[in-house]
Amino acid sequence: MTMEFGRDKTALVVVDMQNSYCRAGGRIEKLGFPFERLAAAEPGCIRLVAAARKAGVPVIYTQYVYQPDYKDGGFIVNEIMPALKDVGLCALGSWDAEILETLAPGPNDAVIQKNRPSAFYSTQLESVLAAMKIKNLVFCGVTTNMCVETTVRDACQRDFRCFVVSDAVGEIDDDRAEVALMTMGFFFARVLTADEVFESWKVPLSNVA
Amino acid sequence: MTIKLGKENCALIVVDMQNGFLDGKGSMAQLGFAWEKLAAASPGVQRLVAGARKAKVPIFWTRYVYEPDFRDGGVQIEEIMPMMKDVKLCVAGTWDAEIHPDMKTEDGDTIIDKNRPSSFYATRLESYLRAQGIENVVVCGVTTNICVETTVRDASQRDFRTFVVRDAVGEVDDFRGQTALKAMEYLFARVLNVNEVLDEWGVELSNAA
Repeated sequence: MTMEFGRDKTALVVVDMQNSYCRAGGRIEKLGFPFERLAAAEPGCIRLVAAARKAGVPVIYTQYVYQPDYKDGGFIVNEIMPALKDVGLCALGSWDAEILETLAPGPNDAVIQKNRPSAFYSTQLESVLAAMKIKNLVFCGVTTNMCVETTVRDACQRDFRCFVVSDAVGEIDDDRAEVALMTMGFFFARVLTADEVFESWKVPLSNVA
Repeated sequence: MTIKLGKENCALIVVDMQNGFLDGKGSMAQLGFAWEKLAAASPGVQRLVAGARKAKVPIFWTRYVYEPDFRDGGVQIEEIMPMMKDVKLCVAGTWDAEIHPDMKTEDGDTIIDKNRPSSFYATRLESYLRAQGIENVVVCGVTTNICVETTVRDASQRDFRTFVVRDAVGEVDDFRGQTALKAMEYLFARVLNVNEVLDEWGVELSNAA
């Protein structure tokens, strides 16, 4: 039994596609992580956004942003990974925190700023979705095992029907990437490809290739 | 740099150590899952509980509980894993939902019922922890990759200093179990073993424990 969805009551959520994660010179590269594996999600995200525009599916962007002095960093920044602070990851107002130019939000797209992995915790996301009467969420972006997965766990528990696009997400570690998709498919979401999303939205592939 | 744990402002959270998960006649076993791998968490959990009693660290037991007709099941039950309904997983008032008798709960412990993987979502857990001034949480129980990990992600994002005990958790799939610990250690928690927790609490257990 496959969980189905169409254009109605559906939104595309593009998670943290920012210079920090996906560009040379971004802070993830500075930390020594292979940012290319995150940038690998970019073409899929671009196609999904193009398809969503054609299908009239709203697009919601999330953006990881910290205060410049990291007073909102808490346990994760101060104790688990203090290096995030040392390199200035996603500091408010910096180039690092900006969403990729290739995926720049339009004037009517919701941009949800967050300072924790989940896009639901302490953000406006749930109220935006409730106001728009959204029931189905299609997820793409980075990183698969961290912000995408934490957000999907939260979305599913809140009874949004979740769809994760396996060829439009990225993770720096292969085991964690593989298990993230397994886990989400096991109990939190349907995992599918971008082409399957286009089919569900009835957007011809030629329009988004 | 090791994240230190003391017994001050500390709580032990024991996740879902119920008959449904741990017993050969429980609903997970009926679903064909390797329940023995979940039961393997039991000795470690029992030692942690004994240590917490000695150190006067408060103990929180979570229980996964659904309404008998699963009207609170939502997407996870209705669409992702409907067979949970067929085996009546953790239905309120049944043996399956009871905490396993080896766990030896006591009056004065707090029991938190939940119907989603996170022990924080739509439960009273956070208010109990805040009211008691808890800043550090030690998490054990089942399953590592689902209810333990979802709870740990939520605890860490809420800025509880979060500790996961690798020899007091269990998962039906080894790869998911191991990688879940890796993911938690990466951004959400310090992963340590039972003996390290007992050391940091400053308690010794007799051989009988």
